[in-house]
Amino acid sequence: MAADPHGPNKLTDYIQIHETVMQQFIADGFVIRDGTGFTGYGIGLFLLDGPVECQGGIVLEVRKVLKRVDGHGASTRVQTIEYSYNGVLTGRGCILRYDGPHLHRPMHHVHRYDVLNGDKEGTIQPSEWPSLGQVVEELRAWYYDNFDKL
Amino acid sequence: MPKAVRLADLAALTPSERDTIVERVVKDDLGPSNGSGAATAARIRAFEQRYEVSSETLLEELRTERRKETAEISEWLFLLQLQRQEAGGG
Repeated sequence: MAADPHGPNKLTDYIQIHETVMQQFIADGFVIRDGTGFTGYGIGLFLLDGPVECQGGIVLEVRKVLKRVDGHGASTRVQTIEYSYNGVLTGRGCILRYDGPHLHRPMHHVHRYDVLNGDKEGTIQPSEWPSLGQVVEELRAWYYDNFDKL
Repeated sequence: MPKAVRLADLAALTPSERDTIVERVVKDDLGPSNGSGAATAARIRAFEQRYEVSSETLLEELRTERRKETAEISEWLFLLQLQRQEAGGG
């Protein structure tokens, strides 16, 4: 049985995976700058948030809450408990947004917008819980599919 | 308010420097939320003022589909979830 990709992970490993994924997208040329930051929020919570700037004026706004599971110092283990990945085409609107369960909609879901045709309403569908890398990958595919319209 | 560590900056550091920074973030996390919780509450209040509705009313309007779940509303909901986590409500 495969390990849960969203299960508890050592904080240092978590950060290393984030860096590796971002470096791959930067080397590939799609991601221009990873502007995410990591903060100890207090009371056993950490925040990971900030923009990931991509080609074509695409920005992925990342918001994640991680919870301390156990361990100490650099061995602390954490697990993501909240997330929102909002992919925006600067000056035009949202391309997609993956949200974790929240007070209004208690399941993982994705909002998709036909942004190039002025769609501000979008559609909402239940989704799997994506990783940050999977969302960047989807935005990269969208970018190449729509390259001539940007 | 604890200082954020920009993840892109870590690549240039030695393993020892990285561990020092990670341990500082973990240390920040050991305390009460203090400024972090207050900052979250202030951002929620700013949304309430801008939209001229309370967070409770927002949830009711979303439930009855009188308001759309826009990117800004999603950010507001995220902050409410964070505040709920802070209160131990999960």
